[in-house]
Amino acid sequence: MKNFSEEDLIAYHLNELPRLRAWMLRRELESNAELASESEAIAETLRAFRDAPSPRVDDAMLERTWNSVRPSLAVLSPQPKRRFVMWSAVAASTVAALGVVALLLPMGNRTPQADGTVAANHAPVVQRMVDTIAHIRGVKPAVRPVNDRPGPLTYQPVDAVAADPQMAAYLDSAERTLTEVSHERGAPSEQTRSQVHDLLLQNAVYRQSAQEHGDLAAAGVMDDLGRVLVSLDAEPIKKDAHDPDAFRLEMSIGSVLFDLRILHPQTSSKTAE
Amino acid sequence: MADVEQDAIRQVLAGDRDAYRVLMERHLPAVLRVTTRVTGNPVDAEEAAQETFLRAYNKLPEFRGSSAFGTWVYRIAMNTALNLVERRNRDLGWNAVPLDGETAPQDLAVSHRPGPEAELLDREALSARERALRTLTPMERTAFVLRHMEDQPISTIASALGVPANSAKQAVFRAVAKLRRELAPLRERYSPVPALTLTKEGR
Repeated sequence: MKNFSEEDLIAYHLNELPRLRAWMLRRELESNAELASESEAIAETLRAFRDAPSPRVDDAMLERTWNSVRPSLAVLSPQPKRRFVMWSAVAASTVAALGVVALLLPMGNRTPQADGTVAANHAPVVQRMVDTIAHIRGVKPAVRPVNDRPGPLTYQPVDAVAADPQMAAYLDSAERTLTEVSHERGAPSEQTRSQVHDLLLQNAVYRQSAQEHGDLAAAGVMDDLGRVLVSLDAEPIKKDAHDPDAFRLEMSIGSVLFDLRILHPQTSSKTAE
Repeated sequence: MADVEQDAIRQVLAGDRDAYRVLMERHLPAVLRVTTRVTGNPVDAEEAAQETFLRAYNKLPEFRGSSAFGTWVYRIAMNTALNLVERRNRDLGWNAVPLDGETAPQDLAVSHRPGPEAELLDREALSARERALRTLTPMERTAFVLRHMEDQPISTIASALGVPANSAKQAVFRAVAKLRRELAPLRERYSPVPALTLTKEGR
């Protein structure tokens, strides 16, 4: 029997085999005599037990059973309606829940409005309750969901660049400098090299800052930027199309510029606010 | 028919014990069939059937009518029969296999084939089947009987046995494999003569 076991055959005859596998087994049975013989043996076993007739129930047996059961039957009465009890329990639990909410509402964040009034923001209260429960249970609180859609974008990413205007300015400056380098013909000017050197000195600080904020995307871009700056600072581009190192560096600059431009609009809009 | 049963249930719950006889008369055949197949002998089957109806009566105030009374009492019968088999297994002296392996003809399913030779062969085949069934554990027997002879779904069997569905399915498979092995000598003996095979009842 290739690929099919005795258990498969039993399952097949008892209609317990998945449809696709049953179809495959049927096909195999048509061509495999050994398997067909096994299958017939199992079918024969099952048929031997299939048609066992039911025991006959005659009047004597019925009478005997009734006479045996009847003396043990107690007089029954319908169970009292449980609806009142059930509704009482529901009402009590609702009142308790409302009480808890009423106690917690004043603890909610109060967000100043444009007109100077203060409105209660209840969502953080619920979130704080969840965080507190998670803290008591020793579980790290979950990241705040920002929409109701599943997937990796369900949670708002940390944005270290938006929180740090200096970092945003640094990225702007890096983008400008790299753009100039990529468009310059021949070796970079002294001014450009000086800018590259300054950017390189600041890079480690901002990369560290992004990591501390937990903004791994910005930290990754800083990291790539740092590598490109190190290469530019140590060995200026040789504008030789056949130089593989120069070509690789150009590719890296293009890649970092692409990353910076993805971050840049976000940075610009947030810093503008 | 359901109305008759509903009326009977209402009367029983209102204190009329004799109204329960209507329900018992209607469902005794199905209950006795399953208890016979699970326990394997008429004495235990009858006892399990009586216990089933007593349990059903005592639980009747809890019967909400989400399923038919027949389905409900059938499930009670499955559990009661299985419990009885387990009780009997703990009591080793009860229901021991007779030394000669013979089963009384009135206790077994007998095909209505005329002639003394055929009757002898029928009895031999039936005895072999009974012997084969006795090699199964209570769980295997119950699972096999309910699935193959009573056409119950695996989920119902698992619920009756109190095991996961996969365990119930495996119990059925094990039972069939064991029965096949037990019946193999008989099948080999009679296979050259098709008329005398075990399967004549089913054909």
